[in-house]
Amino acid sequence: MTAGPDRAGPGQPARPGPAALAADHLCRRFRGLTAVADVSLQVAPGARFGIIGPNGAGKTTLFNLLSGELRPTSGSVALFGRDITALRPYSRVALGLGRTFQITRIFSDLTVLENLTLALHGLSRSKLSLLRPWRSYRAMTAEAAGLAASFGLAQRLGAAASDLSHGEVRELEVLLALALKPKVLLLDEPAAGLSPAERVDIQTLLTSLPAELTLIMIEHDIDVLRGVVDSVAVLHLGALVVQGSMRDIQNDERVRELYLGSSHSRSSGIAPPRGAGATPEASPPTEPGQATEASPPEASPPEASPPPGAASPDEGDGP
Amino acid sequence: MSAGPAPRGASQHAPGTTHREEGQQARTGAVALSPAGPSSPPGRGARLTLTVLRGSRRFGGPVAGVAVGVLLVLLLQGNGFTSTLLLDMLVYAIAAMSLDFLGGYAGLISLGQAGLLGVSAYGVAIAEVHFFSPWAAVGIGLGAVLALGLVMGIAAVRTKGVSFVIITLALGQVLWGLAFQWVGLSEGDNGIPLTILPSLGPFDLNDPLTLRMTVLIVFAVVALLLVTIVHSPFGLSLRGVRSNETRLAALGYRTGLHRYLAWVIAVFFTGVAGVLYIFVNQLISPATMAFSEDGLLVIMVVLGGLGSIWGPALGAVVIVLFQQELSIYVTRWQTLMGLTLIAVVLFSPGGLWGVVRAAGRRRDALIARLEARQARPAGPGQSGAA
Repeated sequence: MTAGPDRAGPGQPARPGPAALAADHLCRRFRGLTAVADVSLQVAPGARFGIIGPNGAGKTTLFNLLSGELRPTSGSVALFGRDITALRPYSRVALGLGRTFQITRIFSDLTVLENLTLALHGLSRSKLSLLRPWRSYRAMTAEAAGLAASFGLAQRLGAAASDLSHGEVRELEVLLALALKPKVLLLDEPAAGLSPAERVDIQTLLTSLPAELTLIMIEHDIDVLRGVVDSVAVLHLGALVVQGSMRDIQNDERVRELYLGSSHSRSSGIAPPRGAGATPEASPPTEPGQATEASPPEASPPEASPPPGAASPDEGDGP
Repeated sequence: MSAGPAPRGASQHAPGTTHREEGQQARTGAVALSPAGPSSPPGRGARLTLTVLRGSRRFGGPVAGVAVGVLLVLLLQGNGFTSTLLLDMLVYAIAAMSLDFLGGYAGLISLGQAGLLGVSAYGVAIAEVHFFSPWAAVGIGLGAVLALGLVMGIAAVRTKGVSFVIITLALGQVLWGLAFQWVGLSEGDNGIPLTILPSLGPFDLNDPLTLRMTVLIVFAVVALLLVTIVHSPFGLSLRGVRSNETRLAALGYRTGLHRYLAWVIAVFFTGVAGVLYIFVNQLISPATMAFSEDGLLVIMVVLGGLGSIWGPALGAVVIVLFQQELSIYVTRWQTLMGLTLIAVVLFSPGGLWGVVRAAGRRRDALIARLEARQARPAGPGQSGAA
């Protein structure tokens, strides 16, 4: 089941129209190993949705299924009600589904300006233009410069992407996806490997995104999600364990077991550690109620939770 | 000459004399010109240097191109060995540039280009043997290589990296094998001579001078077309394919299509080189398509500089020189060629063109330094230059 009363926002009527992105009983097996097991979720337009889980939980595999890098073994994906399961990544992009990668994928041989211009040509017929210099597309290069400026990369337009700092690379990664003006943006651990200060920068950037953009964000670290997303699903061993608002998740026994290990004393009432720049009270960028819902998986999650990082080989770089 | 060396390499031609005068002026006047002298005040000499440097940045390329063009036109007037040598260079330069377009931009290194060059050359020769008119023969030669490229491309661009190299190598060897063994069509090892070249009214390719100028013009057109394409959004997308194809697909690009188009373009221009090859040599034999020729083309590209279009043309010049000129004097010219290649790869990974580019970068850095110095308020040593 995927539809249901809005759990995240009690009292709010269910939003009309199809979900921005919906997964229906998605499964993906790699040679006997089930990386994603029967995941169903719906993300409403404009929602800020987080997916957390320990290493090897299948988060990146789930993303690769949503963005089309991988085909599901079974199940389907729909974007604004349209079944996109059979579409290749570039066709999904044309329909408004953008993504970033956990392992940074920028064009390191190109300059920042070339990176962004390439992204801007992505959905235009001009990408097949042969005889006009790309620098002469003034509107595109101006837009690229504007994008870079929106993120503090204005001074780095001419720099080779391979010369950027790690934080700048992560910013460029997000900018490349934003250049296509996606309606739904999948962010795969945008803060991975960043310093605390850089994390705050990324969080600021994410909270400043247009409200109509649907944001789905994978994070290994729950602190990064705080203040950015308004509802969260927890993935473990390929299955959705629990899903709800940020506060619910933090107080959920199973989540704490996943993160702190089953030996953790149940009597302890401490919430998971807090991030540097975020407070739990920080108001989410959109109303929590309009957001999301995901069905708990039919197949109930395994009771005994092995320590995080135990399982699958899928995490990280897709094929 | 303290100020000269850095900018000289980049500007190459016409501005050279100005530089020398400049350098003298700098020595007699102030030491302001020395790029290593950051404390020296800006003088008239420095301003002049800046103007010259900026001029060379702006006009250096076109001026050098026109100068080389004029030089080639003059050299190609004679009927002698020089002309033959230059024609060979131009033909192989076209093939090397198209290989660079594929390898240096789309990241697809092909080891079957000599085979494809042979296909269009054989196409022209075989068509003429079967009594087609010379112009029709040209059409058949180009059509054959284009058709082969379109069909083979479907298989070839499904692979990348080493697999692509191997697939194209296999393709080249199949073509060579056909030329060698399908005696009924290709005359086997003897090859096929071409006796009559196309003509149209007063434009007669059988006239050696007309032929030489035509080869030069075709070379220029192909080179400019390739340079234009690599600076277009499509060219940018090819560099994106080479840099990170998965990312490019996630930006809405149908990357397979881009690689396919790059392949077809490269194959077609290689076919153009093949037509010119048989015009110039008036004979096509399997030896032209042998594996060693594939290797030579790749060496031209690497020696000249992968991903620069002009570099591989330079590489073709050097390799043809080695092959035809040096081999007269040195029996082991191939050893020398190998050592040269190793030296270039070791000391200038960007190839010969990398040296030119580095000079350009040094010049830009010098311009930036001089501009910064001028922006500062003039020091008390202003009188130095006067």
